[in-house]
Amino acid sequence: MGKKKSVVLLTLITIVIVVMGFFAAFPAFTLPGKNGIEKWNPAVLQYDIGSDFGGGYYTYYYPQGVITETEYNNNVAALEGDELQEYKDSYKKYGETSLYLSTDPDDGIYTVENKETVTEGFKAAFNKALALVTERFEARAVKTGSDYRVSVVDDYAIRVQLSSGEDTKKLASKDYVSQAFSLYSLTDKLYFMQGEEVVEQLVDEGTSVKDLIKNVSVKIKYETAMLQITFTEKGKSMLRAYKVKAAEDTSATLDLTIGTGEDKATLLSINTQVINTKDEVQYGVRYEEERLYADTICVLINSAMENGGIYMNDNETTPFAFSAITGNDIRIVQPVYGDVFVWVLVGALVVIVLTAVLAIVKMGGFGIVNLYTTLTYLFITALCFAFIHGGVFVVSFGTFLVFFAGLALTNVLNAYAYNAIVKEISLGKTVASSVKGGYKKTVLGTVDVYAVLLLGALALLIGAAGLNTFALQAIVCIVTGALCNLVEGRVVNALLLSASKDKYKYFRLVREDDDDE
Amino acid sequence: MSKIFSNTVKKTTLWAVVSAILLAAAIVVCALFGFNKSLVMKDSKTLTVSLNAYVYNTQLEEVKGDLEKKLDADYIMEGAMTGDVSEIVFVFDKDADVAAYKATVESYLADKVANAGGGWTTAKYSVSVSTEKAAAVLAKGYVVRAAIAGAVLAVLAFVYVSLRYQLKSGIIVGVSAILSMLLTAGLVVLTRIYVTTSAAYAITFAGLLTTALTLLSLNNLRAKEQTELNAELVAQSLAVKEVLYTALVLVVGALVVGILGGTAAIWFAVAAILAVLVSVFYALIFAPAMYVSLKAWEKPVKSNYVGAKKAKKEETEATTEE
Repeated sequence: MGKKKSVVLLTLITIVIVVMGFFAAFPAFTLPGKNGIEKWNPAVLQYDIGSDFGGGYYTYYYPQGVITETEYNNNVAALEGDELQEYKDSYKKYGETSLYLSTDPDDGIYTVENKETVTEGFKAAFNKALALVTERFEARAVKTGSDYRVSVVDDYAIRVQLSSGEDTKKLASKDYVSQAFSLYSLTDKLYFMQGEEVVEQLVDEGTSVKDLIKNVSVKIKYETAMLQITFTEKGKSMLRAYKVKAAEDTSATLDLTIGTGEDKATLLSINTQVINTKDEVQYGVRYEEERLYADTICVLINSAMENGGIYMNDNETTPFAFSAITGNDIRIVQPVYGDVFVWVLVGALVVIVLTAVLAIVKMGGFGIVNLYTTLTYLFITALCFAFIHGGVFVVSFGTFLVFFAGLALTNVLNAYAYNAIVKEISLGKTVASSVKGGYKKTVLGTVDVYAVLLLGALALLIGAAGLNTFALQAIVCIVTGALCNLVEGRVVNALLLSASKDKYKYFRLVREDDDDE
Repeated sequence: MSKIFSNTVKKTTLWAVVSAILLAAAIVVCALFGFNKSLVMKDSKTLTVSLNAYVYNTQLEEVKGDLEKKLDADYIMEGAMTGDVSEIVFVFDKDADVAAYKATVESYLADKVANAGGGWTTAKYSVSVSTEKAAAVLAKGYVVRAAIAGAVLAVLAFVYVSLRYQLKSGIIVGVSAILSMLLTAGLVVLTRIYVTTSAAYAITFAGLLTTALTLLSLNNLRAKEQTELNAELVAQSLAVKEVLYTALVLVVGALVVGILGGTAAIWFAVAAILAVLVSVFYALIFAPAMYVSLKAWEKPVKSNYVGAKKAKKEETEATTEE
């Protein structure tokens, strides 16, 4: 290839890398103009940062009839006279904890005989509710790939903590978390209702929604995250009865609710549009990129079908429920983009610069090839980590580990090729022949290393939650590293070599003069 | 350096015994004490300071700093809320005497309200202490699926390398991958590093890294397979510089994350460095030693070829006998 052509191509490649670098890491600034995007943010500032770097949300679930010491003291401070005494009589502190429990017999918490002992019914109901909440967040953690914690506070309250997740176009990570916190506190049974009436198929004793629904799952169709519900024969007869009613009253809906009274929560309002010819419901929840919203509801429906409905007595007249969770009850733990994460990025950049400089010192012109591959690797992985969606690319400690591994291997395999080329030259071959021979001798070894790593990373996809995410990030780093070593490195080397004046000096070699000259 | 490795490659039994002892010790310690879970994953006590929004937004750093000096908390969470009240939660070990701490904090806040002036004069606060029992911190099937993933990683590495190289190379890579993951987990148990879910990254990473680093040496050895490979030649063929350079970049990277990333990051960095060191051990010491041993067990291939001179000599002898 001619020198001029090489320079032109190299310039184009350099421009592409610079543009990628701009998108990946150019510092944030405000864009002019009132409409559209107001602020430019580089990819590195759009990462979804996991709990490893701090950042998350938590809230408390208090059973109805249980309040905190703070709430009790605030109410006591605000009341006086008989009202104050009545209030004090209605709650009793639970041991040396920070909880006050209701003494009202209708709440079923303390025994009627004495207000020292918590009823067995309340204890059993609380434990069932704890298992229900835990099961829901465990299942959700598999979908989100991020961390969580469910703990029991002072025996009769629950604290749930979730790590920060993904912001999407229309929903911030707090919206997803808020949805999970409020929905997963619902402990009542599932019902199908038409208007204010439970459907007749559920009126029979012993029949539950589990007898009507065969399966609930999330499907992506037409860029929408949909809940797909398949029904049993009994469920299909319910749908047919609903369709008859809907033909007479077009505004009628079939609602899937948790609970039936004033406090019921309507999860889905099914109309005839979402029922297909096979009597399945395909209910669009949110856009595809907000799939987590649909996954959260899917986990809730499956959980409520199996274990919904908790009571404090055998005849199921005293239901157990948590107080409703509102936005004000959610605590935000540290800002998502704290200084810590930025400093780690700066530190990583220093390591990258050092590896690039070392390569140039050791390998001369070939070190520039290494610089190109390093920058390409850096910017492609940076962009992939920011923009591959689906709620799975949360950046954690493992992300940095796998990134540095890919960086080191890219450098090492470039050096592997360099050493093979230098060895060929030392045998007396021409530079062009040595480059060809050197790459030929090393290409299969390089392919083998990346192939084994790729198989290993694919195996790690079996892992759950954060480990699954780690595997996906490893795949990105491995594939990017392979393309940099096997394709870009050879192309850039050919272009640089073609443009180089002294091909021996390019490889940091001294050409031996021919004695005959 | 090849002199050092020419000694190490002859001692397969030693390295196998060292690995076995460490693993056995780790199993015993794990059975008795389990992993040393970080506070995020185990029971704890908490002291919660609730402050009205004005004080929280303007005095947070001062309050947090002052109380951090008075309390021996393991870590602190700032729980900002959208209503009138926000909170700071100090988290302690489950055996801490938080009742005494509560009195200290109440006294501090009362003093602030009485004497600090400014926004403190109308400040509202409350202090409460609680015990927390961790009910669940891992996604469903986390540990089992991680173990299966590690096993499948080793099997796939074994199959690929066996097909591309030789069966003995496949065995070396597969065994090294499995042992490196087990030994990393074992060292995490033995050194009592605080463990969070991110420890799984370091443990499975050991498997990935070991397969890559071992293959770098096996590449060199494959080129010399037809020659009479002895321990010295094997030692000379190891990809020492490549393995050490990779390890150096990873150790420096882990230190960067650990030093700059906060308390939890330090423990992850230590686990990651252990994973790297274990991978280097298996790539440069155990795997080559296993290679030499497996090569020694190979039966030499008997050839039926008889040289022309030898054939003529045998013919002459046979004729003479007749």
